[in-house]
Amino acid sequence: MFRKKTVWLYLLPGLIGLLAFYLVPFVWGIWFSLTDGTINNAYVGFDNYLRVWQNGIFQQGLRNTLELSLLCAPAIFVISFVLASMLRKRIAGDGFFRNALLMPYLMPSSAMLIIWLLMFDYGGVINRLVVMLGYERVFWLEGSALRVPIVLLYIWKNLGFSVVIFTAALQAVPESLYEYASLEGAGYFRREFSITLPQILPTAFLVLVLATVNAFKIFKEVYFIGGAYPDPSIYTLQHYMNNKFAKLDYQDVTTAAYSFAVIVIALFLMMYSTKAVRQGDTV
Amino acid sequence: MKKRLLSIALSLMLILLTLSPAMAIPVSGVVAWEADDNRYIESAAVVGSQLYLLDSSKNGKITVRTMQSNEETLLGEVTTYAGVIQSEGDEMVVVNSLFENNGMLYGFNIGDGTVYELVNAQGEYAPVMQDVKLDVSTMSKVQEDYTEYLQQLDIFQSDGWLYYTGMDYSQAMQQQAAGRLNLTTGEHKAFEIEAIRDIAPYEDGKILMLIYDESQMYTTSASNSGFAQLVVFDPQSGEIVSTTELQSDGEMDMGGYYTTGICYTDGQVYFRDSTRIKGLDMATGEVRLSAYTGDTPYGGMNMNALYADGYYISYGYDGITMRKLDSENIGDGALMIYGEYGNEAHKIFTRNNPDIAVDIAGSGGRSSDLEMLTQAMVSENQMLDVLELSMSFMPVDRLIEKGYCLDLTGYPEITSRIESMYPMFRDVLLVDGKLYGVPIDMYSNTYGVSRKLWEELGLTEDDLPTTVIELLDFVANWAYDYADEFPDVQLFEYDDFKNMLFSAILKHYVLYKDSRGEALRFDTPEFRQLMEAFEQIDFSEFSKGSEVEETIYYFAQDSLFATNFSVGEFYNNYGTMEELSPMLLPLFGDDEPLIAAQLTVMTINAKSKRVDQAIAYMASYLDHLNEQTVNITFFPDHNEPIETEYYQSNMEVLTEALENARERLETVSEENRAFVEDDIKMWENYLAEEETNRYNATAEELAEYRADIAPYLYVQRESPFSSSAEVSQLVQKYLIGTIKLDQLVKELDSRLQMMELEAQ
Repeated sequence: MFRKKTVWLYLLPGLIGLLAFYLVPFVWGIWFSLTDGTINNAYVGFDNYLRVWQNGIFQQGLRNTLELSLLCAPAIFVISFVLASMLRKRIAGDGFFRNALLMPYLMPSSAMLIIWLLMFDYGGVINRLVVMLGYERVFWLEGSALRVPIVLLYIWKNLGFSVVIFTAALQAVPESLYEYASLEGAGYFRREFSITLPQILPTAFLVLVLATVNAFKIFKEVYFIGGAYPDPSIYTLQHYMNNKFAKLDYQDVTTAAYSFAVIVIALFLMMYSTKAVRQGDTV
Repeated sequence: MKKRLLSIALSLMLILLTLSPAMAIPVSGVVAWEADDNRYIESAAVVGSQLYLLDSSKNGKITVRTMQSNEETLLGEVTTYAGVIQSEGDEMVVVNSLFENNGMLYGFNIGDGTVYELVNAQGEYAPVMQDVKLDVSTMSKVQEDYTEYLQQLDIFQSDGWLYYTGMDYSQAMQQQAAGRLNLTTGEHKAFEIEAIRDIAPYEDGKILMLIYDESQMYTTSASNSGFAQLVVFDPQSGEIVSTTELQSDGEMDMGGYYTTGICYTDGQVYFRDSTRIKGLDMATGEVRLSAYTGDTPYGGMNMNALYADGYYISYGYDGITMRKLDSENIGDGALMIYGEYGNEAHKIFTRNNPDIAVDIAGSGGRSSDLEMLTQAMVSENQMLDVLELSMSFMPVDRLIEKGYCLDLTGYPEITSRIESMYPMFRDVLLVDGKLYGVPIDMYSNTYGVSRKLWEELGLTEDDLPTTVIELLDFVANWAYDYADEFPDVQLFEYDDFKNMLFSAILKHYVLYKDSRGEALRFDTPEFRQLMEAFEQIDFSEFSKGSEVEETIYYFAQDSLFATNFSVGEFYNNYGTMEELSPMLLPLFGDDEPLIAAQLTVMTINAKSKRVDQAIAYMASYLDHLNEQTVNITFFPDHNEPIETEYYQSNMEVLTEALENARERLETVSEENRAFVEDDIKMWENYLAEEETNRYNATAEELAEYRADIAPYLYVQRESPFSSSAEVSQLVQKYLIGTIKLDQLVKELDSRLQMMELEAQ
């Protein structure tokens, strides 16, 4: 009994912090999303949710955010896994390659943007390559074509982080398993699917979660290029929330945020509920 | 029982917490101060409990007062101009700085290094020149035909040395100079430490230095420019004893740029940090808020500081202010004004209400700092009480809609003051019969034309363009019709006028749609008609800037047309731009001319806990609106012509000079008669010129404004074009030819639709 009390005592500072800085704002935010957003904060029930969900531009932002996430997250997952696999073996200079991949993650987007803008400019390097390949130049920085540099910029920037996590997990897989499998005649793909993947499944799930969550937050890159009202094809949910904040529609910001959170949580619950992941959790 | 006691205690705490903001409303005695902008206090010194002032705006008068009384006694008159040449036997006392030495008041002339004891032991003005002459050779620079002295000289005496700082304007880039002068030998020693912004006496013969290198403002971003350093310096050894960084929490994120004016007493250093005065305890290093200045962040830039009897005194070009330091109620905060930039109406309120602590936030942010405003509106701590906002660039309508603006309908002291205002200004802040703010300023402009140049082209009044379309046609045909014959005539005020003209048309079109209550769209026959006329103009014909590598914007005061001709401001421009007059144009002919009125309004935060003070501030502000730029513009019953500020005094001086010359004519010798007659003619011409320029606003100008301008003023509300960077980028792309009109129209409409959808 005494030990139980002591444990709670030790946990108390952390719990107070959690309560004050996470739970209270979270609940308060929910309440705020149920008010009319005027100075009186009158309760309006789910009116805000109904209005926001029916709003065409919110739907557009949500759709674009999900689409960009569905493009970016799997791409990061697959590419980072392949790169990590290549870096798994201890070779000369592997540390350099890992660090080089991590560098973009550490650099501010705004600083790198000018390079990307120059590359994707109408007369830039990318268009020269396009012309060399015999195609017409593309206005990469306008209209829906802007999605291409944004997705590439995002992948380039966030890839290194996932590679580092994957590499750490891969290096923890006992080498003896591969040796035994090789002796049994297993090929490269068989080894990867039968040994590597089951062994690193929790990490892979973590990478997928992080890649997806980060992809949901694609905004800075789009904002720097297109501003508060970019081409509709790259208008994200974050644009909606930012613009609503600037117009003092604070309750719509929280409403949009919670709506999105519900969708994201539902998606992850669905993913997590798959048998494989849960089994992997106990590995 | 325990539970009941606990619940009672908690309830009491809750009640106290709820009441605490209301209890925090300041009571009298927070801050006492005085300010007078019409004075130029060239120097000040404290001797015992007496504060001596040298007032240059009153022809060099030395006055004395205490902190306990506002009464100021005139002691005597001196000449403050350092460059005055004195002839032998001349008894003129030339003093431009005051300082204390051994309990007596002294004066110093930077011109020749003379030192005077100014006041005798009985406290009477009795100047006695001292034997010593200080070496002031490095404190001035001889230019071609005049001598440049250090400006804003701040001096004090310590251990037989006279320490000084001053601004050296003789260099290409102004810089601060500092050093000391021996009061016995006259020897001069400059300090080798760079970027000394201010100095103050400290203890044991040591001095305090405020170090801040302003030049870094031009080489690094403002927020990276670092804070000012407070240095304790030992002049004997020439070594720095200690250094303290004076961190600034000024909301303008300018590092130490707005850290100024140090003074010292009893272990406490006081300095100005942006709009506030801070106290630094030298023993503990603790910094605290000591007083509110009620001034803008930049208000302290040209002022020197002094400590006297519990007050922080700052003086200089902007007069003198005194703030009580470390008042008991300092923690209660201040009436927070957002967007004020140091207007005279604001200063009058702070001057007349010494018991109300006032602070300024977002100075200069009337039309830009949306982020700060939005955050402040949801914050309970950074409460903004009074807001000054541009109707054209800030979401005033949204603030009203969201309930953040106090309903002023129940305050007759406000409503009575705006009853007679033009309805088009007053009514923009009326919603459902309730008043949520008051206009306090306006800027408006329209197209202008030089009727003189127009006639020189051989054209008559009837030939003037009657619509914007006609104006664009005239410009498009200029090269064929007039350019060869009149090569020196500049068409618009800027040589490269494509952007200006497009902006003017765009603004006009937005107003046009708004005035008709139509949704703003660009894929319309009207906008395309305008653009068709605009695209007919070959702008390369006009740009002189194109001949050189970079585009140069020439501003010509004698152009044929103007795209931004200011109306509603009544200044005597003494001949410049007088050829231009407003040219009111509708866009197409079936519409009325419209003049964009960019209105600044004042509202009170509905959450303010200082509503009474805020109302008093607003009422006082309305009472002291600028006559020339605001009152005439807003109130149709303000029709008295306004004389220029110096008309009467100039006339007196000129009349006296003329009479003197005429008197001399009666006694002058024949050989000098012609000179005196020339003098008389000169004074007569000056008098005639003064008479011509007598008014800032003549009766005719006022009548013209009422009849021809006021009916067409239309308040420009916040629109997507007010501050949208991407709209500006799109327009720029169109103007430089990267995108065509169709794409511009499509992109603009697409963004407008997005904005409308968002607002649903």
